[in-house]
Amino acid sequence: MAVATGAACAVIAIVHTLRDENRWPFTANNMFNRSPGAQFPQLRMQLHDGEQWTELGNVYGLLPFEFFRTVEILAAVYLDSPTGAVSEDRRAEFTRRLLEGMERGWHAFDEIEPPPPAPRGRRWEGLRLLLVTIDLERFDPIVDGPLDDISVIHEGWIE
Amino acid sequence: MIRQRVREIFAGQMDVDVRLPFVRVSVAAACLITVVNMPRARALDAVSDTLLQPPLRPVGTLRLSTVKYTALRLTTITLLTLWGLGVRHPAIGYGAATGFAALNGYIAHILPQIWNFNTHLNALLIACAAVDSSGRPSTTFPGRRSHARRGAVLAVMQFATALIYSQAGLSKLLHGGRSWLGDGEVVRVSLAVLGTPAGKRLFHRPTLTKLLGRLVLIGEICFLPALVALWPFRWLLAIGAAGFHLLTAVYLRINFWHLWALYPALFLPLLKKRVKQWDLHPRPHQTNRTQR
Repeated sequence: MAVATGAACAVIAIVHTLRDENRWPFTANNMFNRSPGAQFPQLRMQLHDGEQWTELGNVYGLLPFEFFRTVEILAAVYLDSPTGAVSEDRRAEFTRRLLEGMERGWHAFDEIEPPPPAPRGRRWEGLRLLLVTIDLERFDPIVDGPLDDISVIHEGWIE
Repeated sequence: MIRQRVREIFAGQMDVDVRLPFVRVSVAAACLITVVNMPRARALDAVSDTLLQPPLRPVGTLRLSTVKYTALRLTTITLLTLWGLGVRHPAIGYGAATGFAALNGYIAHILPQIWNFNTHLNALLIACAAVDSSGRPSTTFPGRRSHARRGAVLAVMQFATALIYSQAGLSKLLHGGRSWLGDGEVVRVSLAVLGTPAGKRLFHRPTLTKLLGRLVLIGEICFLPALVALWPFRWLLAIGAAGFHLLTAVYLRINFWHLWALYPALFLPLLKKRVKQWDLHPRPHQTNRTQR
């Protein structure tokens, strides 16, 4: 019985791999299976501490989810999706709650990154999301550049 | 030859009495750590208010209230703790498995196209709950204590973890072939966007990243057949797999802890040798003991 059930689940899991789709609880285990290409877009962010904007940083610590889910959640909210775009009001509300959540904070765990620490005595008051393009032939991750086609897709504030 | 190996794997694991309690504790601990570190209800609410509403999801998409989510988490933590500590009643094991599956499924449901691929924990938790995985003899649930059943369940759990690698390898080969077998582009992309300081330095060594890409693909695809072929040395494969996860942690900060943390219990030789002789025809005193 145990072996038959295990074998059936294995077959279903392999079918998910062949079809390259994830449907909980079955996973294709398709992490990192394909390249986005030699030039690919990436979400970046800047935070405002009440005085100035930070340098462009990665978005992984904006939500208490695994970094890859954080990217997908932000893309779903701030980029237009096939099912329709989230309204600007809803995006502004999402940003406000995101900044409040960062102020409460959370701890790093596994693939969940902590929020970037605000300067002493200040808090993050604004968030700017940007879309950039990375060209693998020219990009140097040590200096984090050059970044091409930089465009602001959203700017929101805590109040 | 193959029949003998299959029999060896599914009916010949003589250390099951010692190994299964160790597996239960490891699986319970991994699930407990996962649940404790799930997002707090308030953070989940902030995201659900947008992600589980139109236009991203249809009206009426399942949503747990703050109270229900918190209650489910606390109940699951309690059941997992009891079960991990050795309370052997089937209701505790199945309850823990159900609670964990519900929570894990709900977290995945927030963004169903991608989630932390730890659903093997669900499978292992259910498998462990399906037998008496405690280290002590029991007269309460003799059927769950069947040596054959427990041995088969242990083998299924070992193969469930190995399948993950072969799935990952197959997926890379079928859907990303050139970027893994050819120029290793996907390795460089990963290092570019996720690399640790060591990973960022590795990015500048394309020959090495190309070689690593090929080795990863071959190693993953071959893992399941290698486990069968090298069954007596499965502990060596487990150490190799853990080494692979260590490397990805060093270069990418991704360690897949919820998989390799189970390897000592599932694969490594046990320090405490309390292995009992066992065959398919139990001796009369063993039969009497389980039937009493």
